[in-house]
Amino acid sequence: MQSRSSAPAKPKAWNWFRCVTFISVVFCCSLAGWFIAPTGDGGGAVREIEIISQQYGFVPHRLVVNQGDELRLHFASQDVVHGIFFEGYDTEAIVFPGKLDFQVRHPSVSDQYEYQTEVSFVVDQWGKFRYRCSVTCGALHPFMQGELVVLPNYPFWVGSGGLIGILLGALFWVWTDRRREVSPARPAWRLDLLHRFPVLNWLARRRWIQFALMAPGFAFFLLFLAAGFWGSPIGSRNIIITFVWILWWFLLITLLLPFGSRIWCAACPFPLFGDWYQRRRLLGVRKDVGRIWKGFKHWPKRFSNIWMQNLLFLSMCTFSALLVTRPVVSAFVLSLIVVAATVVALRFRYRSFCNYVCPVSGFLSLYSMASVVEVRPRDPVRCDSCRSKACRVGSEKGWGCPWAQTPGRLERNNYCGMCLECIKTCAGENMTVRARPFCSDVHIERFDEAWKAFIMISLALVYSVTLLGPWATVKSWANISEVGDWQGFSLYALIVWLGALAVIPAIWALSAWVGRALGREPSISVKTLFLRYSYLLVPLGLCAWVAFSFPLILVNFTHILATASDPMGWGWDLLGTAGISWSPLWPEYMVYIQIPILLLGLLFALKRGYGLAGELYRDRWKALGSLIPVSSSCVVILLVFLALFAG
Amino acid sequence: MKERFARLGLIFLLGCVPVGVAGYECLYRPSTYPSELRVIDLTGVANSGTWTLEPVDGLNYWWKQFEPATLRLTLGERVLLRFHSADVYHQFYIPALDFGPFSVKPGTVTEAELNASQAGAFEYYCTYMCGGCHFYMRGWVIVTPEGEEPIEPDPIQCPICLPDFGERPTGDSVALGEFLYRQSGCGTCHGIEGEGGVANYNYVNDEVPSHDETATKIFLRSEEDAEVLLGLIEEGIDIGSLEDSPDIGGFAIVRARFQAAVDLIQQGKNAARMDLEGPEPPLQMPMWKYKLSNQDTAAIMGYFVSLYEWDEDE
Repeated sequence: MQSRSSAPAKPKAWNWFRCVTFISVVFCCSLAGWFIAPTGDGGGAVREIEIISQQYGFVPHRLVVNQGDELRLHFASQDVVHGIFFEGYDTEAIVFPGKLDFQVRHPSVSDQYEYQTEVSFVVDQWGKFRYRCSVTCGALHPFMQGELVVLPNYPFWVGSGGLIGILLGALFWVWTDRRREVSPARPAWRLDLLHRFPVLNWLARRRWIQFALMAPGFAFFLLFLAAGFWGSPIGSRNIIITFVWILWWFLLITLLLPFGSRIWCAACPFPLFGDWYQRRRLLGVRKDVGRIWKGFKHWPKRFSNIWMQNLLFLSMCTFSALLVTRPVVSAFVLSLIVVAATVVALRFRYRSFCNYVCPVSGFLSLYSMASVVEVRPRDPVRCDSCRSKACRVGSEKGWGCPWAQTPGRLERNNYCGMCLECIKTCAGENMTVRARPFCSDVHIERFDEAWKAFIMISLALVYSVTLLGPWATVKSWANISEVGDWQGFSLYALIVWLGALAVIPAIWALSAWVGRALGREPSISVKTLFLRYSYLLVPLGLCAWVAFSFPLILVNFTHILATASDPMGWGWDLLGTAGISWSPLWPEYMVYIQIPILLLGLLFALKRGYGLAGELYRDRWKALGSLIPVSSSCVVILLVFLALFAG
Repeated sequence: MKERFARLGLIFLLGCVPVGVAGYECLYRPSTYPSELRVIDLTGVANSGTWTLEPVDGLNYWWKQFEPATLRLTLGERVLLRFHSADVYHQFYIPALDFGPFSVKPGTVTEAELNASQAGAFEYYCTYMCGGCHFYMRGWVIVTPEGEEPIEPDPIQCPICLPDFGERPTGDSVALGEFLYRQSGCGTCHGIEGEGGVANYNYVNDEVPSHDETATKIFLRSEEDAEVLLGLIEEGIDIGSLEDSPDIGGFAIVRARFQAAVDLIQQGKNAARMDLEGPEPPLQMPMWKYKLSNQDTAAIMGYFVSLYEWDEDE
């Protein structure tokens, strides 16, 4: 094998050419998508359609029409008063069961409703729109929706073209890679935030900073509990649902996690009392800081992994249709988490609950690998010669790492809770917070971590079907306590568990197996490829979750404003926003946010995948071969998401 | 020193939440109403089919059967009714006092002032269909002059909604009709066994029609004819479009009357007012076509026909 150590003559120009070509490939494939999109029969038809509402879906649940058609709609309800709001067409109706006429208004024209027996409009915009229930009609009301697809559905076809384009572009990228040997990626840029921004440095060294984040959090938590137990049973009018499952979730997955790693773990109020018990201090540090663990047990070795988190999270999510719609279920589960966090802290050393039990911690750990910040030593060599190991055991300035890590040796974000104690304890001021490129930690090391990735991507798929999909039957399976269809629920639970624990992992195992054959490098085992390439699901999964979460906030943000003013749903109006009526924000443009995020996910999955392959294979064609099956699986998964969001 | 400050701060902060919530709800908010006004909170609960005075919250909503409210007022008293909904849209309506109907949007509180200017017992209703127990959602407002014994109103025919009606029967169309009649809540207005007797305020006929004489209303002449008709329903034959005359006397008119009744059930009917200027009658025949198929409706008609007691001598 010949190798050339010198770089190509004009690397810069060459890389520009590659970038431009890559973008052109993606663009051309998207354009091809535009041209192959089925256009329907030209429109102009008059369609009489009767839409019947029932808890929690519409019949028909999907309307496929042609641009230019005129829809003449009649509505009826089978059980309770429902609403129907047409995204993008400024039409909203309230439908009364047992009555032929219904109330209609056009929100941008008038707030007043008029009784009608028919409402008609011409569908003049292409794409996918949803019709949503606009009147609280029971527990799963916020997820009751149908789909209006106006052909030609360009966003879906252009998006699909884009996904294929990224795959082809990636092939081109590898083909034009002038390095004959793929070398491990050169260390990417890092920006020392504490050095660059002295304010951050000052803040990070304050002893009160974590307390100042946790204490108000706990006060909010008490308010949420009060609302969950004694407030209105209507989810969208109860602060525990709107603030936890809409606002907090959205901020966590779209901002805190990608841009702050596990910064939430530093602010999380749940371990407040456990920490207090262990340290006997809220702010200061005890003199015998090195000996505080006397009398506390080590967490059992057998459970020193995230399997428990995986299974707890999966169990919790099996009941998510109850959890996110019933305030009392949320309050109960959150109380259980606080009690468990405290009880574990009474007996075991460190943040054992956070490290090994907390269901939220598991996916924070996984997706923090993608985050653009990290806590690391400035110079790891200095840490090797450090005698005091203050970051591990503590000093007069701070506690030893509560996450049982050795901060001076940190290489991944996974188990760093961003509490910043090590920044305070390090005598040489060697610890810092750095900014870095997206997805900089690339090594999934254990099976429990790999399975976390499988569980997360499966749940994103399941939620996109149950919560964002139009299928009332699936919703009734998931909504077990109200419907009581145990057979349906068992089937649903079986699909969730099998999908997360067996089907997706099996696809990855198969991809790794085929990839090994295509890679033609016998020394590399299937297991290695399986673990390494499970990382592709980190950027992919995170982006899928972000794309999933946008509709939650944009559709329901008025509930957040209303409950901020009336947290218990008792008819208060503290801020004057309690009476705000439901009106979603840009629902018709949702896919234009979601599709680019999905494309970004694929881009990073393939880019990091190639880097990972490069570490294993010296030859780029072998690297490419090993990567093809798993890349194809990624594209298929994203096509499914695309179909659910935009198809 | 700092440590003690933090500890106190934490206790204060956490204490603020329950004190603040309870203080606002129990002390501050009531003080915003005029003191002579009695404030009554009523919550609509679809699952129990009640307007209730009991507090409804996350802890009890999912399992509790709530008691229907009986409002007892003194003559001349002014009360402020605050309507809540624990689930879906409800309406509150007291036709005899021309009070309402007030639409109660879930999650928001609707307030209305009621002057108890008239002594007596007045029935209130929910007038938006709100689920399987909707028709049970009624109760009494009793206004008593000061110092007198309160009147006890007539008991409501079906006061409690028990939504479990067992398995849907197959085969026997009369049994199916009876099942559907009960399950759909028809009995709350038309009588438990179709005997009627339920008052409908300001309705031209005073009472909701009964159904135990349907057999004669559709001009069936004998028990034998009724048996033939039931046989046809049992076989699933669409009587309204039946061309050949079966062995039923005066079949053309029976067919027309039968079909008219089926249509009325399917399409619903607004109850005509006795006093055209008066309030709308609270009980209206809903449109059933989205809940009951033609077969189901025919089965209910069969049940009605079977209720008639034929006189042996005729």
